[in-house]
Amino acid sequence: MKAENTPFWHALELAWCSDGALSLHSIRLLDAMQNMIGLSNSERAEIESHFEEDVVYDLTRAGFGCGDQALAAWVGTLTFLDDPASYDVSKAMGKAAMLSGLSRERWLASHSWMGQLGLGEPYAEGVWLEGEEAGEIARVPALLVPVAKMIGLIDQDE
Amino acid sequence: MLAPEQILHAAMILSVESEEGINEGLISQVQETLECDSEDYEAAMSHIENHRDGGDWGGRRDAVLHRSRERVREAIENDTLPSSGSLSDELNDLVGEQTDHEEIDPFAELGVVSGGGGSSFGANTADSDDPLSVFMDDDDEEEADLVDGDGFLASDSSLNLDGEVVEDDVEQPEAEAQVAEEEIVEEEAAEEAEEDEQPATTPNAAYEMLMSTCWIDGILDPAEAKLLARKREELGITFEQHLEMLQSMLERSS
Repeated sequence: MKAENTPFWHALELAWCSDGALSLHSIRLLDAMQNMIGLSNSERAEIESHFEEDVVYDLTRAGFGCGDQALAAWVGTLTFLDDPASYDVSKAMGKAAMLSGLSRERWLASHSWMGQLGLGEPYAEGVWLEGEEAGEIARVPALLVPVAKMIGLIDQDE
Repeated sequence: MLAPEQILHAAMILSVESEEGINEGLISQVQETLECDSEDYEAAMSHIENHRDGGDWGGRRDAVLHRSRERVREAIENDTLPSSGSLSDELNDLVGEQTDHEEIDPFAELGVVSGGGGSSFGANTADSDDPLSVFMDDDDEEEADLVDGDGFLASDSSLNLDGEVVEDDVEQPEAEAQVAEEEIVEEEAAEEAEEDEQPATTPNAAYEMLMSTCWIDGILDPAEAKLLARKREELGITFEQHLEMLQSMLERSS
C-alpha cells in the first residue's frame, strides 16, 4: 500500500493544504477517522511521516488551519462504510473502472485506496470478475469521489 | 520568516491583552502594512476569542504573550513592520508594555543542555563553553552568602556594613567546630541524595514539552512540524511515539 494512495493521505491533504497550517480540530478529526477505518498506529505513523516529508515541509503557512472544515465534511462521509450497500457499490465501482480502462498504476493506486477503507475485496471482485454479478453504479458516493477521479470515472475538475 | 497573518495575530493578542484592550486603529494600521485582508483579521480574532479563555489562555498566558512579543519584535527587526515612525512607536509601546517577567530559555524549560559543553545545568566546569560562567557563578554564590532571603545583608555575613571583609577571629571550641563540620557533611549528603532522586528530564518529557509549546496557539505550521521532526531524530523518538504523545496531550487538555 503506497502511503499517498490512501484515504488517510487525502484527509491529511484536506487538513494541511488549504492554508499550510494544521489545527487541533483537524487532529481530532484525523483521530476519529483513524478509529473509523481501523487504521493502526503504525500504519498511520507511516503515512503521516511520509506526508510531512513529501508535502508539509514545502508548504507555506497562510492561515489558521481552515482545512478542518473540508476535512470535517469529508470525514462525515465515512458513515458510508456502515451502509450495507457499500459492498455492492464498491463492486460496481470496480466494474465501471474496468470498463473505462484501468492501467496497472491506476489499479494499484485505487485498490490501495479502497483497501484502507476495507472495501478492497469487493472492488477487486468488480474489476477482475469483470463485474459479472455487479450492477451499474448510479452515483458515486462522496467518500469515493477521490478514487473515482483517480480511475477516471469523474473528471478531475468536477 | 513569519507569515503576515502570524504577525497580525501576534499584534492582536498583545493589543487584546493590553490594559486598554484592543486598539482597533493600531491593528488596522498593522493589517494595512502587512497587506492582510479582513478575512485574515476575522480568522485571527475568531482564534483569539476561541482560545483566550478570559485572558488565561488555558494557563499559558505568559508563554502566549512571550511568543507574541517575540513575533512582533522579529517583524520590526526584519522590517516587515516599520522600525520608525508612529506605528513603530505604538508597537514598541505594546511590546514593552507587557515586559516578560523573566526571559524564557526554551532549552532550560526542556531540561535540554544547550551548547556543546555537555555539562548539566548548574554545573560550573572550567571546560564550559562560556569561560566567564565560572566567574559569574562565583559571584552568585558569594551574593547568596551575603544576602538573606529578604534581600538584606545576612547577619552571618563576613562583610561588615562598610562592605569590608571581616575575618572571624573568635576561636570556636574544638568540639563545637567538629559538630558544625559534621552538620555540614550531613547537609551535603542530604543534598546529594535529593539530587539523585530527581531524575533528569527524559527525552520523551522534553519532546512532549516542545510539542505542547508548538501547539500553544492551537495551530501547527510547517516550520513547527520541521522542528518537531528534527527533535524526534535527535532524541530517537519514532513517529508512532509522537502520535501517542500527541494523543495523550490532547486528552489531558480536553
